[in-house]
Amino acid sequence: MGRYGRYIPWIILGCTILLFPLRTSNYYLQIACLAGIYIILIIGYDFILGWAGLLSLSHAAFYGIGAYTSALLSVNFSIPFWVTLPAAAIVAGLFGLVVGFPTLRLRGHYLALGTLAFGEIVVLVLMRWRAVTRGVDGVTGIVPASFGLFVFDNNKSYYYLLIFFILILAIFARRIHQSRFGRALIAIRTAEVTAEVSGIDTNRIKLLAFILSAVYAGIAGSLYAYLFRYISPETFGLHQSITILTMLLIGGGGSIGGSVLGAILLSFLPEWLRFLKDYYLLLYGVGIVLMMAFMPDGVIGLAKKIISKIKFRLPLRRNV
Amino acid sequence: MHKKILIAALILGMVLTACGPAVQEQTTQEIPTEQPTQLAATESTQATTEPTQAATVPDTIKIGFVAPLTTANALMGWSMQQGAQLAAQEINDAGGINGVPLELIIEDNSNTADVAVNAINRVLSENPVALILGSTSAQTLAMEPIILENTLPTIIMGSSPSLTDQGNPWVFATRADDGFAATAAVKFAVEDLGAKKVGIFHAAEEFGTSVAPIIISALAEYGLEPAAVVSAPSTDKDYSAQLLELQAADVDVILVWVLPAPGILLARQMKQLGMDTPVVANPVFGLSQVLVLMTPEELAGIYSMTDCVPSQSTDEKILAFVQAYKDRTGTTPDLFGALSYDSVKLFADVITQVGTDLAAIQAGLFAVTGWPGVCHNYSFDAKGRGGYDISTVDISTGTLKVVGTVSK
Repeated sequence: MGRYGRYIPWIILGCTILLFPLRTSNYYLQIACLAGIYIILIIGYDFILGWAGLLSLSHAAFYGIGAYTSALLSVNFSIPFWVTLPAAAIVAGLFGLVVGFPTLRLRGHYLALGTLAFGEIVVLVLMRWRAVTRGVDGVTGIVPASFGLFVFDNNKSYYYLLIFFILILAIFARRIHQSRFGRALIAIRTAEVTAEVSGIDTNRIKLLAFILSAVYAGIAGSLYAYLFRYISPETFGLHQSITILTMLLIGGGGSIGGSVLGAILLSFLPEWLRFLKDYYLLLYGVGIVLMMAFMPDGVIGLAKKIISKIKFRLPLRRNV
Repeated sequence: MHKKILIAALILGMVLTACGPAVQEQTTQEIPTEQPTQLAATESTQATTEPTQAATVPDTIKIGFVAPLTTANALMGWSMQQGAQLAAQEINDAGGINGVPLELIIEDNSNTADVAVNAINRVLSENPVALILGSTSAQTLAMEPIILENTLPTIIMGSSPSLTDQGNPWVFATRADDGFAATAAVKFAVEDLGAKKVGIFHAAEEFGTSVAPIIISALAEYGLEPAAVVSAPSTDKDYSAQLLELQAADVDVILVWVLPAPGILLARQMKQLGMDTPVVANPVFGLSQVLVLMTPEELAGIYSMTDCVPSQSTDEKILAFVQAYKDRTGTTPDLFGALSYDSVKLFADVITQVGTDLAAIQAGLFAVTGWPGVCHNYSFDAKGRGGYDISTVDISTGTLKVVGTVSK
């Protein structure tokens, strides 16, 4: 490999992603779009679970808050996408602040339970507060996202819009991970007491991570609303939080690559298994159990292991 | 570092490229399996088909079918699938649609909106000419924009009026809507059971809360006011507070609008509290999976509204369907088995007459008047509503005994 050899994998990866919509069906494109939304969700969730080591089960609620904020603003006030998207991020972030402030004083199981309760409350409110949320019937008639005269009203264009957001949010997440804040999160995950005596304001850092993850979820929710152009409360229940948790665990926490792989793998896996007809969800469950058992560090952990083995066998050229 | 990216790129590349050919593989796989049936069908029934016409005829006529085959409503989905498959089998045994075999593209919606949208897209990738949805109202609403975009004639089995109120000209409902059923329930309670003090128990979700005002206004036409109105979320397991309130109001009939599981619990808890007040309920107690879970004591005094009871019919054609369904599944068909059987047969009939052009099928459905199915006689109005009659059944013997039928 020459001087620019190290860019080759990136180019292959970029081309694959960019050319994907040109040679696939609308069916796979739709799943790819949903996977893209999950990528944003999981990158956000990684801030609290992968980096700060806090188990929260309310991520789907922030996702729902983002989706409903965007959808209701769009349907009731005809506000365009580029306003409702930041609005969704802000509202979800504010809820993150309000919820995170009391619950982050809890630890371990208690934090999981506290956030679980919040998630359930949000779904119940979405179902019951009919005057505002339109109840279990959900919200229809969301105006498609547009940029100038260009309307993102099909999966192909939306796919590229999602890539744009994923890139921005992934780069931002990477910058955060490498910052002082990111290192503080690792310190909290490793040993909270030690972090505290080292002068890290652990409560503040944890709260910031929680808000940040809620903002990511809000953005993902908004993008979800504009993808489906119909939302209903059932989508944002506990099962969704569990799906998000599973995706991160399967992909491998603490890295953007893990978040991306987990989101893509678990979005496509149940659909690939559809040919098994009645048994596909059973096989899907078995698959997840096996992955948990044999890949405790997720797909990315396994990839790292393989790489270190390759490295061991073939000394890298640059080391020579 | 870059090796790591290479591995990630390879994994991702594999994931993404695996998506492309999958569709092609499936279509190529289909041809060998379908060809013999098609040949047999064309030889036996369509020997006179002109060669030019035969050249444009597709291998199969595909009808999409999306229903809850897993999770909470799986039993309902099972009935739907059996009914649809029975209809398809009968059509193909008789030579298909104009000699072309009918193929059902069956997918599960997992009872959630996301998966329902994936399922409909999966079905659409097979180019069906019609679609049947056995989904709840939320999932159907999630799929309606896709139906509109693809201009696909679709029969739905949801009963919420909101599904046909979307102004989507491609959606046709085969069930009597909930408002009509509620009015019929009130009529039965007042006219047949002589109710004077009516209590209402409804689910606290959309489908229950939207029906309560309809019941109240229907009662007002008889100069009655409900003696008590109570509700409970479908996730609750204990209804004693609500039942005691109804008991305290000394009601003589309770109108019940709930989901299957709460319906069973409600009947059980009424007996535990010693209440023998007659109950007139929404179609929950017309479902075979509900009846098998109830004891004879719990069944006493319960009347249920239901779209149809094929097994009680005197029509030979309907009885033949009941027998065929029994032979196939070992159970008596419930309303969902009958509705999806009708949906497939109705589509086949329309396609036989007008061909496989989507707009022609849509026009053909609108033109249907009094089409005799096993569940209803169908005619679709401008909104695409087609279910025009509803029966009241007495379930106290463990089987459905029709005691009255109301038609629009």
